Amino acid sequence: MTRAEFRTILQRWCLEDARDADGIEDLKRDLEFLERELFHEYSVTAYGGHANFGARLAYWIGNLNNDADRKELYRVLAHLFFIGRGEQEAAYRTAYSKHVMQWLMRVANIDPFQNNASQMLAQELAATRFTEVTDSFGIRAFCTANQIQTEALRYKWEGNTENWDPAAFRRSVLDEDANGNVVRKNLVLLEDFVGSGSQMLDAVDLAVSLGPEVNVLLCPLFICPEGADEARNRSNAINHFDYSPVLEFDQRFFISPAPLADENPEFARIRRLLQKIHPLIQGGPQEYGPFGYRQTGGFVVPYANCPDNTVPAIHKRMEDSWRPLFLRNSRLPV
Amino acid sequence: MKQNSLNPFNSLYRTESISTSEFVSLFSPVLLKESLVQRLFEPGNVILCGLQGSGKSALLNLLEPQVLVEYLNSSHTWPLPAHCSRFVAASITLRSSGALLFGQRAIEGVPDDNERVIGLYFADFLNYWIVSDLIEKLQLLFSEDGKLLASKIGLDTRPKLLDEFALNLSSDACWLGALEGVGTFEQLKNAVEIRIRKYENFLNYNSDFPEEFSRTKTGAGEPIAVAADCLRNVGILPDDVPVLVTIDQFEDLMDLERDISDNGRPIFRRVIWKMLGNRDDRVSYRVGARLYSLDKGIHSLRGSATVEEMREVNVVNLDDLLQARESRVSLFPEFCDDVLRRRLLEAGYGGVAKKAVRQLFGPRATPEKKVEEFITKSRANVVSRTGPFDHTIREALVGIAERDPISAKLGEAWVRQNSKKQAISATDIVREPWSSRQWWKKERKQQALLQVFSACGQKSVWYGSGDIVNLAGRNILTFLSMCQFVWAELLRSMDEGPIDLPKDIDPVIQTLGINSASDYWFRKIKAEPKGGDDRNRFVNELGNFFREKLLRDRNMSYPGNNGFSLPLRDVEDESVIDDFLSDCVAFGVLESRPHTPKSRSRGQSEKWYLSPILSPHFQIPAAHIKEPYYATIQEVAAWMKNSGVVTVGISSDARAIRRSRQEERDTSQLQFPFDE
Repeated sequence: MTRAEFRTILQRWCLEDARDADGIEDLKRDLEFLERELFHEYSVTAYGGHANFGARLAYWIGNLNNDADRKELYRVLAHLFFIGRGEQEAAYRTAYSKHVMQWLMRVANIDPFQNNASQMLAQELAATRFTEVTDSFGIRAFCTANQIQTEALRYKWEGNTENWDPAAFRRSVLDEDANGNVVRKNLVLLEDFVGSGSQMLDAVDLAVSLGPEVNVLLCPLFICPEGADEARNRSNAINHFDYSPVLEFDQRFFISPAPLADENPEFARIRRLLQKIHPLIQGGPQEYGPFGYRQTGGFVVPYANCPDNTVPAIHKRMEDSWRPLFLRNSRLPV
Repeated sequence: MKQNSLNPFNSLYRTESISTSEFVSLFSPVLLKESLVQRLFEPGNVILCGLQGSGKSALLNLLEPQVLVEYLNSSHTWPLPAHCSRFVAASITLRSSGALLFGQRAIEGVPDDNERVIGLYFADFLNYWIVSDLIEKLQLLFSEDGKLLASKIGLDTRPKLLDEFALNLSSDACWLGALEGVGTFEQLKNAVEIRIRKYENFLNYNSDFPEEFSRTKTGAGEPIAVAADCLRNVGILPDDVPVLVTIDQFEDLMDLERDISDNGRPIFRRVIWKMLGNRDDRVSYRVGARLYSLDKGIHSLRGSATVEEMREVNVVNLDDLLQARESRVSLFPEFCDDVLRRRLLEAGYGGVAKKAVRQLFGPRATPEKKVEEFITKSRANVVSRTGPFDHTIREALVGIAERDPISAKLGEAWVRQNSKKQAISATDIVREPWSSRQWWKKERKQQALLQVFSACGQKSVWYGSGDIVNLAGRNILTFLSMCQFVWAELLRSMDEGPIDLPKDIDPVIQTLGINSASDYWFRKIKAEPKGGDDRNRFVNELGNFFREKLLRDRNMSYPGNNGFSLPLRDVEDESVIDDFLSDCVAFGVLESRPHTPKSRSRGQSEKWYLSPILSPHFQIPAAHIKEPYYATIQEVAAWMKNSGVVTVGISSDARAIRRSRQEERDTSQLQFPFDE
């Protein structure tokens, strides 16, 4: 379906929604605004002839032939949570200026009203090592956004958790001196987007194994409910480990395979639709079902890439049967 | 990259932010055909008022010599009639002049509550600013660029006269010695400029209060009048050429007053009133103001009885001016055509017709045409399943509905209205007797259209030149915003923006664009000052009330129920409601006009309608026909209460007044008081 053909269909939907029961016209306006302001930031489709959002939306709706299903698929977008470049930068700044700073003041017992508070905070910052769980976090951009200087070492946990050597880590990352004292006694683990938290927890477990002399903070920018629960459990169980997310997603951005008691009333329809259309999407090595990886059922799309726990109807491509709206770029074979 | 926008209407306030050469291309002279508007260019004080975007600032810009010089130097036709073409003008736009810095800092030595003194300093600042602007305009007229305009006005532009003028002016007593020692035009310019800078430095906390100001405060308007005198005395200005001074964005002073005064007394506005009320014909003022800043008429500002409407001041209300009357055709449609044509030409489109609105949006769309093009669902739904008629009559109406749903809906109403008075058969229905009742039909067509679309579960549609102009409600900004939204919808419907001028834009695109514009204006009510949020909720209550009334009225006995009427005496008894409704009108949310009710006992009344642009949002007709809804003051109070507008309810005083009036009427009826 071309963009112009889709616009004709969309306009008809608007006019048929006499009492705004479907909210089509409001949704149309919201999406037009977001298309102009945000959706063009989606990196994966920026180059390579993927067409702009408006055209991709037409292809996406055109995956289906039935008018009612098409309208239902369009209405799924009312639940989309798109994280743009600006939002990500704001999260970088908030992570540093609020979450890290507050944590340092707490672990070092700094009273903000004491005369030498700034000096003490500067000392704690000098004793802090920022690390990233995976390279998708972008520690370089984080340091730039927060004007963090002299952070020559940028440690990444991903790829280093197998055969991890605590002694080597203490020496090279925590700047341990000859007497066995670690200079960097505050260790921050940063991540941009956490789903179930499996990768994150591997890194957390290793970090807390360094012992109570090293304070550990896990600070994800965006985290899904499942990962958040895991992180909270760890934090409650371990004294020298703290968890402070910038934004913890509410359950309302996730649709589960089975209905929940207080879920959005529209989810029943969406659930049926996702299950009904899944035969057009399923297949390939990364087949997780209509609700995505670990049945998370996310509607979250970060500008850099769509996670695999977002519903595959949004991001998965199947030759001849499904064109995605926000194509996912995967590390694994597709 | 963001999408590139090619919308010629993206900037709605073009005439306020462009160079003079662009201004002369974009400015529409249509309003100048009105003799009242021509008063702006003739001697005498004028208040030019209108809603936001009614074109006030664009008209006042025409007084600027730079603009007139551009007209003379370009191929554009001189816009003013010959008798309005000779004047010298100075101006101040309050928002950009620095005048609004007053109130940012208390003046040292002046007690905070001494509003009058702050007003005096404000008057002094205005005097210097306007004289400074006049000096700048003189420089232009004495320059090579302004030579042509100066000769058209009839000025004597020998250079030595400027120094004579400066010497004359600076030695006048009105300055209280502040300009002592000034001997040349250049020195005068610098001295005035320094005074203004000192004010700005103080108000921006860059310096202490200049102590000499307290001894040299000039009287409101006096130095400006003296400057005009001096121009005549030294021979620069012929006696018959007026000096016109423009003060624009008068309403901004209200914010300033709220900052300074606990109850927003008009400290600063009164200064300007004083200038207008000086009964001094040496200078004529033009004040650009939004209606609400006049505070329910000029009289309320007559703190010291300085101004009387129509004696010292001519009020030109653009909104009233563009209102069609039985005796005259409104200029608004022509204004829309001209503004649209100029915008499209500026955007580079060729082949734009004189009737640009019709060219772009197509001819007026009749209700029948709208139904024919848009009703896609079963037309049998148009006729109610329940009613005072049997299935044979219903079938006959359904038969008509298949061909002409509007006629079927009117037919249903006709049956409902007449079934008690006469026997009606299916054979009667087939003959469609209502179709011969021209007025009855005409008055109900819009209501029938609303009910047809609603019965078929579809949104009402708005398109064609008629709808676009009517929905704009005589406001050019509203018209342009509809063009903007329709064009945006058009761009989104195409893979590439239109290369050639689009004609007869698809009605679906128009209707969605208009709906978006209507929603935008509804949301925008909230953003307006002085209780926008209250007005937004009130209008929501009112709009939904009208829609329900019009839909439920299956007899179509009240097709005019998209407005309401109240007896004026009831409104005047309730000052809270009176003020609130007046604000709604002043901010362009409601329109009001006098109403002669059917029943004489209601007395002189006023009727109120929603601003037409809000009609698509509430899906109600915009046309004002037949009798409005006869509301009671209690109902209006209830609408206000339901929408969370803070009221004190119906006051006991007002109730007592009404009771005593009723008693008087009853008594006089019982006593048969014949003349003796």
